[in-house]
Amino acid sequence: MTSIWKNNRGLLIIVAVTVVVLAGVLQSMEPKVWMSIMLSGATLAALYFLVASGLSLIFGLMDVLNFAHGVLFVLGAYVGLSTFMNPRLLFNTLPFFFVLIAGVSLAQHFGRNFWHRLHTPRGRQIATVVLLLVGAGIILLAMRDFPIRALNAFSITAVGGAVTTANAQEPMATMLQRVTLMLLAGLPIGLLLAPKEVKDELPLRPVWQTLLIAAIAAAIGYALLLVRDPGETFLLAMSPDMRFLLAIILGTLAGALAGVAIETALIRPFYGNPVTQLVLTLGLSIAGIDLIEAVWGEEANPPMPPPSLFAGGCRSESFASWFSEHCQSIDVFGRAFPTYRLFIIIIGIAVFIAVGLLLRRTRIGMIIRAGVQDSEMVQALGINVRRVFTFVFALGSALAAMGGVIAAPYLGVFPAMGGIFQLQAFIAVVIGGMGSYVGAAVGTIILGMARAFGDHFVAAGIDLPFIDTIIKGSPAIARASTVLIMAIVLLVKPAGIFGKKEGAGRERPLPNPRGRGRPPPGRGNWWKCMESTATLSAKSMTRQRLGQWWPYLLVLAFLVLFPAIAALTIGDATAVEPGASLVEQLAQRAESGYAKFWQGMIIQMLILGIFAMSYDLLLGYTGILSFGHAMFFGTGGYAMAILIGRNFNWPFGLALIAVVVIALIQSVVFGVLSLRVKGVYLAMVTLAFAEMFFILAEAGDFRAYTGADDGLHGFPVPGYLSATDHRTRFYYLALVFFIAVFLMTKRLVDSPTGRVMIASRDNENRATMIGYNTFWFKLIAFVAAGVFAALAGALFALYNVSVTPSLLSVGRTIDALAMTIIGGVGTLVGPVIGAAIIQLLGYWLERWFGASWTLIYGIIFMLIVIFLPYGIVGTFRARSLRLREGWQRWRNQLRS
Amino acid sequence: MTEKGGNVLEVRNIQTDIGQFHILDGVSVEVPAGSITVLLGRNGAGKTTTLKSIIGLTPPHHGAVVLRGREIQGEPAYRIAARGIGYVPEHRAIFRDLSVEENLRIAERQPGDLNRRAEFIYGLFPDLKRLTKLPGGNLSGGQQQMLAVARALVAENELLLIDEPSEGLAPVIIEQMIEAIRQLSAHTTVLLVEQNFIMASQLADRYTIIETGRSVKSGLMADLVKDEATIQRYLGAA
Repeated sequence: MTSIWKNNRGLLIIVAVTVVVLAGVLQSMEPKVWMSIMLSGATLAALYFLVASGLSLIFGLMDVLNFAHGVLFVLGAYVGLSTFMNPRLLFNTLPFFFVLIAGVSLAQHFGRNFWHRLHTPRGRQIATVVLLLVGAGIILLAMRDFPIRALNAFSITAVGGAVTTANAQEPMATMLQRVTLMLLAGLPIGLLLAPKEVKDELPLRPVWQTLLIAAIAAAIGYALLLVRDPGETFLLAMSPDMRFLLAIILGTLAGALAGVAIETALIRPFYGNPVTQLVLTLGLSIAGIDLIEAVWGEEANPPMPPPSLFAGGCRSESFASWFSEHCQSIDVFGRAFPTYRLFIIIIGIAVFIAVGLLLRRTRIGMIIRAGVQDSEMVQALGINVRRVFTFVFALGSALAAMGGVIAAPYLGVFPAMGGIFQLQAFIAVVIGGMGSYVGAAVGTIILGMARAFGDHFVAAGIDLPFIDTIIKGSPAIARASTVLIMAIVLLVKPAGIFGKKEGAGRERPLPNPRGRGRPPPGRGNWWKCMESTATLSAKSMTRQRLGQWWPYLLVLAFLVLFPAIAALTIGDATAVEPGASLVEQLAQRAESGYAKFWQGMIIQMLILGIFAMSYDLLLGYTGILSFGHAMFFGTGGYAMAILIGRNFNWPFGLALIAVVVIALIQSVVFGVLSLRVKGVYLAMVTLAFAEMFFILAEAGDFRAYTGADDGLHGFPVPGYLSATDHRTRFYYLALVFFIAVFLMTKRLVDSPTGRVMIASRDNENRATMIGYNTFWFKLIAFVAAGVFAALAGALFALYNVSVTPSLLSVGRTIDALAMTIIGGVGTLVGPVIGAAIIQLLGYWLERWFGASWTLIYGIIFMLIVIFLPYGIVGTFRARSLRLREGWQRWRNQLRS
Repeated sequence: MTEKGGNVLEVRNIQTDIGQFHILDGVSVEVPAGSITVLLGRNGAGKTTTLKSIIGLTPPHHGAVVLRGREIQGEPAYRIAARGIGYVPEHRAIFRDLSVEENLRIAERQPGDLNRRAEFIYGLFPDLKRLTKLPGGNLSGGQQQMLAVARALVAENELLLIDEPSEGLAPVIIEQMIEAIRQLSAHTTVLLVEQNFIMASQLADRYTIIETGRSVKSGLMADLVKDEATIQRYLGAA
């Protein structure tokens, strides 16, 4: 008995406090009120659960934190919406996928000798490139000028309405051409995926099976196209209930297929290197949303009309009368509650039970549970774990997509919905305990209830016992409440309520489920890839000890002279006032035209460079994967803007000191909180903390100070610092800051303290056993990184003379991560180069591609991660370009 | 169960890297059918990695692993295991959240394997029979070791790789374990890694000594026991 108390003290305290608070809150409410709040909470919980359960299972089994999970949710919602409202879109797009599958499976089977015949590695490389180019080329050809927008515009049809226009779709002959081209495109892709080694005992599918699969897929594809007009009429005339069911099925299937595709192409080749996997899913979450926007448009769709089962204009007294009259609401203790939301709850419970049974009662469930603990041992028993991985990824994706479909009539359909649900799912999973199925359920229920009660608290206020006035919360507090709950749970039980693995920072070597070939460099250790970079850099450092500083000095000289160079080359000669001295002429030309513009670009690169360096201090040198770094950047910016602004009118110097002090306090507080956990847990926890700051900045409560969602613009930057009037002066200010931060960071990482940071990155247990309290060293890194990031944010605010909540958004952190990864993790120069590249890339891509530039950006980002695993600097230091290796690795592993 | 004669397994000069470290630098082992062969050597010599290289968890980048005349190196671990190799890893690797019965059932390659072999398995380890519903994590160290060996017996394997069965066990339990391995070796060929020389000398027919990633000596156990010099040189005081 005492041991139960001892082991679960924290949990029991949480439960007790919750019960007391709930009792206090509930006793002041009528049953009908709290019942309907609980039901609203359960509705949200059910939707959160559909996202969180998959996330948790995927992480538990494969150690993959899928940042693209929200995209799958959105995908499901849109596919469901299209099925329900606009079948025409489906009839004109689904055939492409089916014939592609047919083509791929044919080529995969009959091309199995293809790779065998190519004897040289060089020949195989060339063949791979050619096949990929041919495949992509044919796909582009097939989809050229495809009128996706017009097909989409059709989606405004009233439910049950007849087909009003045939203009949107292309003539049958054109579509047949396109679809046939797509069938052909499947052939090179299939060859690409064909098995590389032919072994006589390889259990290949019998020929008839391949032919059957291909024939069925092709037949479905062509048939869908041929019956598109009658099919559409039929679907639209169908009972909305049946169509809704179809929408759920198709949406779920789409999610499952997307899951299989993601797992095969992006996850599977990188097992044993979780950071690459995570970054790839991150890239996909950027590109995926853009892709969805490209297909379905950016604007939010109104909630999908609920199927007729939930659409009757009545209020039923009981379940029986609901089923007979199809009422839209049902009576709960005398208060109407929408029946559709009840349906969501039922689906949530049904999925919980079904997946629970799958895990408990079936063989594959047993394998999953075993794999969560030790997937290497499962392999050694003769079980192909990889296939189970794919299955679980598909299952999790399907559940998220299903969540999207059933959320559509409740919340509407818009591209940002995925991000919202993903964040809540992260929080739920952290609360419940990563990898625990029941934990995911409990976490989502806690969150759902917190949101529902929070919203009620905001809308109606709360009448607490012993307090006379009714207290009303602000919407911001209701939104931030979930993060607060997470923080509390973390304080008492760092592994989550049901978590067993302490902080998920598992020390056992990650399995190499491929069990073939030489293990990838990341095998066995989370941060091996970075360690390699560091080792390489150490090697090259000793080799060029003497000339170590000259590249830095060269770059420094260029940066110092840049305004002059720019003034002479691209400055506006007409801006010079007559009679000015030579130096004055130079200064005037530097303040004009392109010279001014490019100084601005470099200022931004320097600011982002400081930010990225500070991020790499965490990621590359200490092994802390933070997703909340933007909170320091944004807070620094806001602090500067508010303090020199009208409310305080502080002088610049004082404000700068205040920024540093605030950042110190902030990073100590959140460092102590987040560093209780490790690895992916820490990523999610910091993400949630940063989100809390984002919410607070956006909240109307502090409008007088923060300007709420508008942000602050035109605050009085002292005249002598104005980047518009004295661009060159600001340039040198930024340069001085940059050099100062660079030197301080370099000093830190080269110091004995820095060595311990690196040691705790490479092997924290060992560092602890040597006798270092790694927590303090990690905290030092966290604080230093926080202060530097805040300085970058303050400069950013001064330069732009505006701050917006977006400074605090996850996107900022992802930028820093991208700069670091692109440039080279575990170096100081890398992040700066990454910052420069991203600044330029963003500028040019936006000029060339307009609004869709983020899609291209996301794709470029993923390609860099795949082909330059050590980033630009790391790759350069490895002396040989790793392009070929990265390419080979991806292709080989994809095909096996 | 194994046909007499010939080698079930031949490991030919394998080399294995883990990350940037060269662990094995030329290990050769022969395992005759029906025998118990033991890998001896000091800590960190590469005994465990040899077993892992055979089963495919750390695939060798050079050399060959030949099972019944067929080269299997480079195949994924699950396929190698399915060819009839049972693996009992060091530290047992019991699935802690699965019940004892589930821990056994997961090793089935054909449905019903466990039911067919239950009598044999529970005959070897009577303790397990009364624990079937208990989660694997609740078992004592000795029971977990028994479960790990039992798990490798569920499917029809012609070769068992057993890594340090005596590790961390009480002397009484070690006696039981020796008895169990002796009994099961009547059905299956065994390749054993064992630090405990007494246990190894009681069980094994043949030995191979591994020293810093190379196999340096092999032969009959009966000869080794008399060969004080070799024992002294490679294994320290026996």
